[in-house]
Amino acid sequence: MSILIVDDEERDRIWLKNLLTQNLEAPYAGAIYEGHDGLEAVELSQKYKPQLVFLDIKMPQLSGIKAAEQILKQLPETGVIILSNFSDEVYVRQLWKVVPPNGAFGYVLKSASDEQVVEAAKAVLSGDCWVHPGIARVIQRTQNRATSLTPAEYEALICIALGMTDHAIARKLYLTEKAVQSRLKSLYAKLGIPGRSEGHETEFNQRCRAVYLSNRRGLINQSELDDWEAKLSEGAPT
Amino acid sequence: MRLRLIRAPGPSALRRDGLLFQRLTWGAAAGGLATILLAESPVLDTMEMNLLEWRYKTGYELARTLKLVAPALGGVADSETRAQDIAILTYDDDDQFDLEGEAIEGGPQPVQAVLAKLIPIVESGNPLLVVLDIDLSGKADPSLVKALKQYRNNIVLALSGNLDNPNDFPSSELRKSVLTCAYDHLIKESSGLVCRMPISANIFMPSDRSTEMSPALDILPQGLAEYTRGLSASGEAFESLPEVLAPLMSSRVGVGPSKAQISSFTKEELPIYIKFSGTKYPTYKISQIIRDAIDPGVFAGKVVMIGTNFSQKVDNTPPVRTPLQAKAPNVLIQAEAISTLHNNEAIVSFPRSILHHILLLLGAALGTVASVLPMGRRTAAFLCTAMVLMLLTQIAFQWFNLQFPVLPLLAVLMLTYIFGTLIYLDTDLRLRNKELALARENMQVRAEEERQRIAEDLHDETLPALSAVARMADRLAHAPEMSESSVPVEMREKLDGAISEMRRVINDLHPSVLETMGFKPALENLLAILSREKLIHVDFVDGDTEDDYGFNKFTRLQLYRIVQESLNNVQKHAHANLVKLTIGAEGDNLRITITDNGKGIDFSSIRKDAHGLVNIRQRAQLIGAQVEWKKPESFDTGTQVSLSIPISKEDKNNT
Repeated sequence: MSILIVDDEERDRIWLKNLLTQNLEAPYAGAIYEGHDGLEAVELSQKYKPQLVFLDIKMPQLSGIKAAEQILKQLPETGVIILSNFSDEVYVRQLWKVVPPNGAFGYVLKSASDEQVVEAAKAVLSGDCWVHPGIARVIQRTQNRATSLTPAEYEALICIALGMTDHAIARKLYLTEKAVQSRLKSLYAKLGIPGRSEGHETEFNQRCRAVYLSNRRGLINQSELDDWEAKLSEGAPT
Repeated sequence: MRLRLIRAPGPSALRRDGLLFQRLTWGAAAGGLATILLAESPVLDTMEMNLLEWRYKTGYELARTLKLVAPALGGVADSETRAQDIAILTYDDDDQFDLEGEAIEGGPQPVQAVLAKLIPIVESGNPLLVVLDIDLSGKADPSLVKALKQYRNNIVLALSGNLDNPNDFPSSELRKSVLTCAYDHLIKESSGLVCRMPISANIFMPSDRSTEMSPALDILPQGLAEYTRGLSASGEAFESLPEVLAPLMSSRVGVGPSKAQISSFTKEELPIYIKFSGTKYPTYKISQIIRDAIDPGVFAGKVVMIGTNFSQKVDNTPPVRTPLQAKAPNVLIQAEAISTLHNNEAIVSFPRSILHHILLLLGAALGTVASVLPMGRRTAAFLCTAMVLMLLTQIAFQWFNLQFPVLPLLAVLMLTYIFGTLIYLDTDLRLRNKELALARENMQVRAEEERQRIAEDLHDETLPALSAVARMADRLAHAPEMSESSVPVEMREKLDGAISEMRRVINDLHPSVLETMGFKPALENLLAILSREKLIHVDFVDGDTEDDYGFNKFTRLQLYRIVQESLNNVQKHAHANLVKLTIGAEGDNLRITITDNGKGIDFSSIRKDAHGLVNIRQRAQLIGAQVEWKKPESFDTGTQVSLSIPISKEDKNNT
């Protein structure tokens, strides 16, 4: 079990290395390798087969995105976290494309707090996706249209993730409870959760399942939810 | 790995070479055209004749001035002896009125009287050639008629009156007698008779020129031609007219003006050539002779010229005057004085056929020179050339007896100068425009580079610094002593705002997506952003698998910006809910079309402040792309922007 950090800025590598050593448990913290360009990233990951790779986007030789593509081609199990200063969602989308369907990835901006970075690392190590708050908000709308969430569905998702009841959601979003339920229904359909109407008892609670799946896919994460929590408590739904 | 052995010339050098070639081509064409227009111009021929007169005068003046310096100049030294050959009888004034008018108290005309005075010479047995350009009007002088009849074998009359015209010869008696002694090389013309004196060809013709002149001899009457051939064959060159005249006359004894022979002269003519240049001929006034102030004996053995004109050209081109002496200014010579003698040598005219070819070449050459020479030097160069040409031709005329028609040359020079200047100015203007465009392009490239540098600096230095401060704020927020304060959290929020604003600025300065993701993903990203911000359905249609078609960085950036600007327009003005971007190679061009189903562009209303469109056009021009706006075929309303740019192999090497 090892982690690879690739960044052409030594300052950032040191910061990240210290952060990970301090916050991750023994098996990972022990083996952290460093590289400083895209080609090196590919070589080192072939050599050490790390479980987690941190990549900067703007690097000499090969960009982080392209390096990720090559790494994932050979080692699809690798968790890739892009740690960069670019907030363009195109990178997230591209990453989405190159990561295998059940793979895990993270997209973290360099301005993220230490907690967010650790959170992302832990999420990806445990097989979830983590996208920086803000970018996640836009990315979920621009994915594949059939499965992407509408703003209304996204709002509903956030609300159930925060643990709100139908009644509370309706009040918060100025809707009838019926409208909330219909939104949730279409949300479940898009996340692929079988509905209650489709026969007998299902194995899962739909709400919890929806939160779990969207967390896995990186549609929501802790930081994201913290943001929303703060906003909704101010009483202004977006 | 490709080895480049030869460095290709830069674009600017290519442009200059192309320009030079263009100038040379156009210059040559213009010069050639000018020559064709001018070389055969009859106006110029006439002017050339006038110029020839000037040459004679100048030549005469020069010969006189240079006599002291260069006495070796031909023809001047022995002029005294030759002066005896010809006598000139002039009228008392330059007009002919005193002769045209009535004679003294019903007597014969003055000319008749003069002729009568010459009779003693004939009586003495000497031959006499009288060149006469005046009609023998008035009452016939019986003694003249008698003498003409009696001594017709010894008299040659060359005259330009019409023998059949009763006005010219009112007296039939006189006419008959003149006819008997007028020599048979008289040509009947509408305006009168012109004396054709074949002897002239012999007198001044050096023996080696005989073959050249022989065609002229062929048209002579049989006996005469043989005679003159005999002369030239023996290599004789006669120095004096009467010297030839006497044996000629004796050989033609008894020959009258046969009309059959006259007709054989109608096509060709042999002008009388008499060497005037550098010679002072004795001149007498007619009144002197009538008043017996001069002994007619002095005319024995001479050619006697009476009157102002003795020759007239068929085609009415103006005769050329030769500088005679001051007292006889109006004796005229045939216009074909090109072959006239100068300094006792035949003047050779440069062969026309060769001249025209030379002129054509020269015209083309001058045209090219004129279109290439820099502005400051061309005028001086052309003026100098003109002066040198004049000088050279004058020298050729003066010393080598070569007459070179210089006027067509000067005209060609002038026209090529004008054409060349126009071509030069025109091409210069175009070159300047091109250079200006190039400079603008360079400026744009530099501006983009600068923007990119700033963007990179911000991205590499400022952003990390801001992030570091933000994390410091995080640490502060967790510090026990700050647990009560909301400041660190607020700080974090403000810094996050600053950071995302910074990212926006960086992205505006230079879209790094182009480099990190490639050309097409960058375009697709623009569509994605549009779709996110305006809830517009977007469609990206990729025609092939190529990414950047080998365009260089600058071109890619401009294409990106054009697409960005177009999508901006869609977002701001079109009110569309469907946007489609197609990209793909079409032949040698890359074609990008952006189609929306919005309300379309009303060109009449936006023309004034259409900054967006102007911007797009300028960028397209910068990279050599074509942009056009039109109504899309696939939607009922909306706009379609088509962008087409050649995919060049050269650009591939530059990336």
